[in-house]
Amino acid sequence: MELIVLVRKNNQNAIGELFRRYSALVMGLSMKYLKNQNLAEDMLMDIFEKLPNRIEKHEIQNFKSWLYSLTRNECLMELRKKKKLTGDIEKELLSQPDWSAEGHEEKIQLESQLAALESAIKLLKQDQKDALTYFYLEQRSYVEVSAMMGITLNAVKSLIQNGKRNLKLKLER
Amino acid sequence: MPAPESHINLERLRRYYSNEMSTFERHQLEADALEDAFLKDAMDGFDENPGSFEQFYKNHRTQLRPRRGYTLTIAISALLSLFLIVTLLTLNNKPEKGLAFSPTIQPIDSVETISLANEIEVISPRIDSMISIPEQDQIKTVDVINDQTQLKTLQSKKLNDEKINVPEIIQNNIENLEPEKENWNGYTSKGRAIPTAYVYGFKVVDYREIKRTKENVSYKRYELGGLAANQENETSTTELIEQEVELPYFSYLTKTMSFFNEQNFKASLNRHLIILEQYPEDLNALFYSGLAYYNLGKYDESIQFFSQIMTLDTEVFNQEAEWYRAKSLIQLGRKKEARTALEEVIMKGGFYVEDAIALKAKLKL
Repeated sequence: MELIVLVRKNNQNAIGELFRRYSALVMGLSMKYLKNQNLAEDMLMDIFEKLPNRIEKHEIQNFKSWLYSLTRNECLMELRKKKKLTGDIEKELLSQPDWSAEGHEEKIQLESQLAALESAIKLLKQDQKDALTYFYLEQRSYVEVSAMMGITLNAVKSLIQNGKRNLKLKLER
Repeated sequence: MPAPESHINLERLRRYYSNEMSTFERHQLEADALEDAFLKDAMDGFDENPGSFEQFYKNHRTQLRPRRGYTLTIAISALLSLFLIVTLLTLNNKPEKGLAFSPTIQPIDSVETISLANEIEVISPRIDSMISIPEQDQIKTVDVINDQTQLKTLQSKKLNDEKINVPEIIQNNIENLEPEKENWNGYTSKGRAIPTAYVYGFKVVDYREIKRTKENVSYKRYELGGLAANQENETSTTELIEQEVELPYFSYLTKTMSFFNEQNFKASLNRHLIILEQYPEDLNALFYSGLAYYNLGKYDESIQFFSQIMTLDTEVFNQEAEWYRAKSLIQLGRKKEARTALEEVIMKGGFYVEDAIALKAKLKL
């Protein structure tokens, strides 16, 4: 909280410390949406230059969650401004999980649920089951899973993400 | 206020994108990202735009350094502020856009301003006219990764076995030796270790760790015309802008390998040939050009490139080059030479020995 208080007072060292901690996340997220290094750099600079004002105006419970939402919203506004955002893309972007403070706290804790996991994992589709097994149980990297399954890295990420979501649903039943 | 652990350890990201992590460390970061939407999206953004993390890190290296002691920071800041003011007054130049908090922003040179994400790949007409062979006949990229992963494991095992056989008197002194480089996998050239790294899962010689006469790749970069949002106006038009630029070798290679990973062999070959114009004995360019030529049905060229690798005194790609050279000879119907090549693979007893025996029997060579 001390750092945020200092940022509110426009302390340059405190802003510098936040930049050091979070700029990579802001930059990567901006790259994901804007797909252009110059635009993403502009976005990064804009966000951190205006940070003291924005922090001043908001009650922030969780800075990281707040910064995530702020960056996403700014990227969406930039895309709208450039008229590149179709309805479908917007729907997809806006439907992404809300990274609220509650969501941040909510972790699946796979390791502590191994017994339930084993039975639930059997109910998944074969490719999701394989991807999750290689990734979580055998602790392999995306590259390795990709090579073992003969599919692209993006396909591996997708299988793991979907498999994890399905697994969570099955564990909650 | 975020807890200390709530922000990403930048060094982990740097090591991930520099391919300096072990497989397990990579897995750990990827698993962490699955529990952290911000980190996951950020990594997706960097993954989808090859070279973008490296570019970001270089642009902000000074600002990203861990904080020094408060007094030292103030002192340095004051000195640099003074220097900047004097410089600006002297040169009467408009200052670069930057963050107010960072008086240590360095001038960005031509290399730093290159945006890999905006590049348009213009392929030479000679390569563009090539036609890929049917997919079932191609050397599959996943097989290349698989083979290299297994070769790495065998190499590590061989190294461990050799370590066990070290005489006791030397063993006793091992602890006093400097630790091996993490990314050295035991490949040698004239008795020297050759560092390797993995880019999109593909083994490459890590030339960042090897002294060469220069460190950049010069090439013609094409970009669609356009301005940053804050500079754009209604009269802006879209056109292809050509620019002669230089990029650090590893950044250039990373994007080149991203094309290879996507099985865009023409773009990958186009870029590897540019590397070879400037680094004629570059092992990465020789090997992956050889594979690209093979999949584009240009077997004479692939044989030439694989043969060149074998003449260079290094172990990094030798086994693979020998094996794929034999396969190229088979594709050309040069049976006698193919038989000799396969027999050499078999006699050396390396990684491809069983494949070579099976292929020789199948083709009745």
